[in-house]
Amino acid sequence: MPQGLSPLDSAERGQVDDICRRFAEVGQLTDSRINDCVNDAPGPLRDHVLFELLVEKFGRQFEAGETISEIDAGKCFGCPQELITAARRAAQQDAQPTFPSENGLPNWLGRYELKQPESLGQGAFGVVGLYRDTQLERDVAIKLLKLDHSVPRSGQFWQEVRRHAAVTSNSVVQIYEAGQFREGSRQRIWRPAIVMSYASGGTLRQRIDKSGDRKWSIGAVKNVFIPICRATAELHRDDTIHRDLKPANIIYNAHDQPLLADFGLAAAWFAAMPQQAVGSPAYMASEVVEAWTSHAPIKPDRRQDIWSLGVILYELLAGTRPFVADDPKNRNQLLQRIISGNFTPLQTARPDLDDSSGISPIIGRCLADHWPLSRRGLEPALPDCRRLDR
Amino acid sequence: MDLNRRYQTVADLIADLERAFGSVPSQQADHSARPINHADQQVHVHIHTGTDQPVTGSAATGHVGSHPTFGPPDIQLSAGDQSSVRTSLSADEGFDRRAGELFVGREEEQQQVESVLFTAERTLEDQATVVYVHGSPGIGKSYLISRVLHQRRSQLQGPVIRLVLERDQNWTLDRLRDVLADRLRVSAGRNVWIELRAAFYDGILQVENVDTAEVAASISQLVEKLSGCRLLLSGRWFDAGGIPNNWNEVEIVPLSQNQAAEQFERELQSAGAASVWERFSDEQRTSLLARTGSMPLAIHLASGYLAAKFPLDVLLQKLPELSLRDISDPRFGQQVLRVIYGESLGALKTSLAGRRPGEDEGVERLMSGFHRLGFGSLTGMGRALAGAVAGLDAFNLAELLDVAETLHLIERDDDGLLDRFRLHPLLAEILAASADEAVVNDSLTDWFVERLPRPMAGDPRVKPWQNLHEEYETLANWLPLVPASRVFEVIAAGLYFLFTSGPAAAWIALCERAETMDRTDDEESIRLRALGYALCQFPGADSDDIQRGKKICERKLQFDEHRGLTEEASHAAFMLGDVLSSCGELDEALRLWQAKAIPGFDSAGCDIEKAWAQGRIADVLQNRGDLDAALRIRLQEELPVYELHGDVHNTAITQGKIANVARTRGEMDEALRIHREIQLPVYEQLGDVHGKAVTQSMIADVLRVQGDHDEAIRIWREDVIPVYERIGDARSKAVTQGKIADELHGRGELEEALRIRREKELPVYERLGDIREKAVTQGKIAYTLSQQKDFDAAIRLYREEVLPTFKTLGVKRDVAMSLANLAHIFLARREGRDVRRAEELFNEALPLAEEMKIPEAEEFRKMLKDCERLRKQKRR
Repeated sequence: MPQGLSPLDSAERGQVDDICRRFAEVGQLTDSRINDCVNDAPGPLRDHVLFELLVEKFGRQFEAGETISEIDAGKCFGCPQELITAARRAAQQDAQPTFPSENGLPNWLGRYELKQPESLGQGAFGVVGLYRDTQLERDVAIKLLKLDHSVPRSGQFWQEVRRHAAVTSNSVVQIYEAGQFREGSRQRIWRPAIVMSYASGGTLRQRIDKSGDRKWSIGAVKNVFIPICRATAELHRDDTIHRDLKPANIIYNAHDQPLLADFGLAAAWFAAMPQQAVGSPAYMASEVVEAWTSHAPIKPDRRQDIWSLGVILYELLAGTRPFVADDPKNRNQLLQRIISGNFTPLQTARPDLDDSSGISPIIGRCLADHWPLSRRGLEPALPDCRRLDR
Repeated sequence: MDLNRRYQTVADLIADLERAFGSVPSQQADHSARPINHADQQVHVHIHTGTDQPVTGSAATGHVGSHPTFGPPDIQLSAGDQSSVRTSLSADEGFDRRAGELFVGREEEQQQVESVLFTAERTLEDQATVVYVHGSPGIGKSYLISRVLHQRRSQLQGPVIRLVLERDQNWTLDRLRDVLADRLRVSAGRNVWIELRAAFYDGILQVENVDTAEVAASISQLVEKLSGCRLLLSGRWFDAGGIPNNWNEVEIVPLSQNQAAEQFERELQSAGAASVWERFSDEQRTSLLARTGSMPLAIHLASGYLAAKFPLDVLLQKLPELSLRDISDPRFGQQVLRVIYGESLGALKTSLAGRRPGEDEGVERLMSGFHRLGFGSLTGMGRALAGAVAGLDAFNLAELLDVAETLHLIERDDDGLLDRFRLHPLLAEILAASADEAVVNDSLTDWFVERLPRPMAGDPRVKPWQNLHEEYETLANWLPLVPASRVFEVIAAGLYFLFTSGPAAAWIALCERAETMDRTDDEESIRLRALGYALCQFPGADSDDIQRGKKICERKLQFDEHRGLTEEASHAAFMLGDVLSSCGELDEALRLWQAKAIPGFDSAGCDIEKAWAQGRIADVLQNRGDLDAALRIRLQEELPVYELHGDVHNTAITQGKIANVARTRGEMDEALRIHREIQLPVYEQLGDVHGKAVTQSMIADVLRVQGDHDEAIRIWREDVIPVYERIGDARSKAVTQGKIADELHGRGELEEALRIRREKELPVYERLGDIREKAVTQGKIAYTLSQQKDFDAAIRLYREEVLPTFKTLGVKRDVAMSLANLAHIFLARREGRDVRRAEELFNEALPLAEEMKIPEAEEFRKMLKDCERLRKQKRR
């Protein structure tokens, strides 16, 4: 989205597209015709229409090998120079594709150029790609959200994105910008996406998977886990709860420091798309699972993150998560086990570990009930897991 | 602790994890391990007033019985550092896991080392206790030393510093002194030996690679300087000259065949390849044991090679046949290791090629990166630095290190998967031989220059200074090697890091080297600033350094003003103000800050520097009791600037000073809130163990005033003192012991208070040569003795030790207070002419108090009236 252009909802976007398509289909794109068309368009859409028509005009000029003069265009259309430059760049992008379109990653998104065809990751939200910000000349990770209109229009979702972007901590993946970005130039496809700092060290999930059957020593776990706790504590100090802490959301930068990604988004996504189960519940606190399965609202609480940390700590040491279903597809059983809070003791899962240091009680406290005394001892209602089991 | 209830905060979880895991060297840090004048060094004492009512005094407030805070005012100049973190100074970080579960044999040698190091009674006057562990390369010297230190760590109440002497470098006594001073962050001046002795007296200095007669000669001089301390040396052998007489020699010989076989089994089992050993025939085993010379390093390397499924036959073919005589000759040992390293490097390349089929170029790049690591630090490297040395990105480096570790070519410290690693010196030598030092040096320079500038809010670099603190030793080693063409670039980039963190001696040497080069006015001005920072940054620097620093600052001010360099002139005025304030010339310092530094910073738009200068003014005002003015500056001028720039470190320091104001005003809850909710989280976030310990000590001070004595003592004992022990801050540790003694005295545990003062406090000040603090402690001992009715001993101590010291030092306030304290003891004894004697002492103290305009003058007048009344009563 060029600077200065207000974001459009999908109806407005459709209106702009219609105007431009109809106009471009008949006759030459002369400057005076463009000016007339823009003046005929509804006031709030004029800049968008101008931008689209300029992209089209410049695109044709590129194809014809003509020279484009931004200065002349600026004088002729009386609009901000940034808009002219953005239109020229968008037109140029289409003329110079870098990679074949794979994994749903477009070659260009606004001013961002795809750097490698392989995706950095796929998730419930969509796909993440490595792009180059051609203006600031830095690598960024762009999360392309699924083309579902309900999410990009969900106020709560974008509120969470804004909240994430406002966190200045060094321990989180930074959001540089978010909104709708033009995919290529002349296809007129706008993709909701989040532009984030790029962390090159891979995720904790990858590191766990890479170690295969090899058990992690206490020393290794210490070096990995305490920085994660510190990053979480830093997030909490900002009054932000992650709500989806799991190895896949812990990303390492080039200096091997763990950064937290995607906090708050999973919950917001779920709220925007209640028909979908999002993410793996394996790391979710029992009260969260309980609330979800019983359709009850639940307030974010930092103790939910502490539970997730406990699951991660257990997984690092034991090589398996504390709560697993006998059949990995049986989500219902998994949820019931989480709610029951019963898990295999660490010593059983990892008999070779000399746990005289007392890690087990720490895991126990992470995965313990946190209800106030008045609620303890009450049996939780039998969960309705059907909703998550779809 | 409710075990059945979930943690309420992640901080609680981290605290439990750190306890369970032990310390976390890669994260724990200290950015200012030097003995600076922290606010927690305020001395609280109870003093007898003659009315049997103890009065609590505080040094900061200058109440009765207190002594002014020692040392110069705080000139800790903290740049805008978001990650001013120094990794732990302790060598604990480098313990080798082969010193643990994989260690075999060596019981006798271990006992030899321990019997010398841990049983001998020592005093500072004794010669240093030296153990020299020697043997051929790979024979297991470092494993043995690691094992001893690992098992005996809990018995040491001081730091364990590991110094690895890089070969082919000129290790003179001065160089050793500077390196140690930088490691412990003490003054680089003449009194550094006193500080180093005090630090190492309770710890151990470990020096590796004492291999030649030249190095041994320098170490012998070091041994003389560190009298009373313990040194654990290791090296290969001497060509000539023999081992000095006062070194206790422990020779390491190859393992026996059985022990070697046992180590092979353990190594292979640990590498998950236990069956490999079982599959070998007896003949193969015997041959392998013989050809590896039963040397632990050779066994370790061969195990990595075999566990990675490389063929035994090839290895056996390449290894020379050794006779028993060969094995004891270090040259053959080295030959064996070179062969195995050669094979392992081949295996590394093969493994990498297997992982990357068809990517010959990529494999070559990885291999060339591994060779470049030979120029890395022998004490260990973190990944960020290793990436720069090897010229590889994080992904490629990770892959390279993973494979190298499988082949036992590198050792990860503390058994961490992601932490630091190091290479054996011999491997480093082999690798470096086929890499280009100039290229590596240039990469290192790029790496440091990128990280040295001050981090600011919104800085895209991620915690750059944390990397620097983690690689502090490499930084000190690299500074002398900076290419000539980049010296001024490095000085300019490093100004702020040097300002807060040093290493002073290495920067001074660089600035002196720069003096011999052609330079522009701008470069000269920056050079002078760096030199001034390096000379003045340590409050503990001796007077020579301070005077030299002062001259440099004056020269810089003149230089900059003459050339119209306004901004630099402001820096010069600011630095000169700091030096003057540390010499007690507060009015001139204030004038410089107000008239020159602040307007200059203002016009140059240097708002952080301006905030520093305003903070200095607030410090002076706060010390002079003008709390409102100080508070106004802190809240309106300093804090908003630090917050705007995201400078959490300076924010925390300033909040701590605000908390001190609150405490002085009696607003204990507010002080406690600031310490706990604002300062502590910042230090925890920065991993700054020293800052955290200082803050915890302040919390304990407040808790004590609030009456929670047990918790205060617990914090000092469990949270504060162990930190000072680890980082070798003997002075702060003694001060904290003194606080505990004060507290015990207050609750009537006089014997224990006396014991702590005599055994834990007094000897440290003696070692440090700090006669003033020694006299203060003796004064407290005398007071406790008087409480125990041992008046004669108390009076003798005051007359023979305390008073003469203060009179010699010429600090009138101290003399006045000591006279008054002695008078109180006479009044408590009240025998014969004691009341008259007390009256005389008060009469002597009063004019001094009046001259100093201290509030105690009124107290003395009142006591004089009391004495007169008592005399009259006695006459009746």
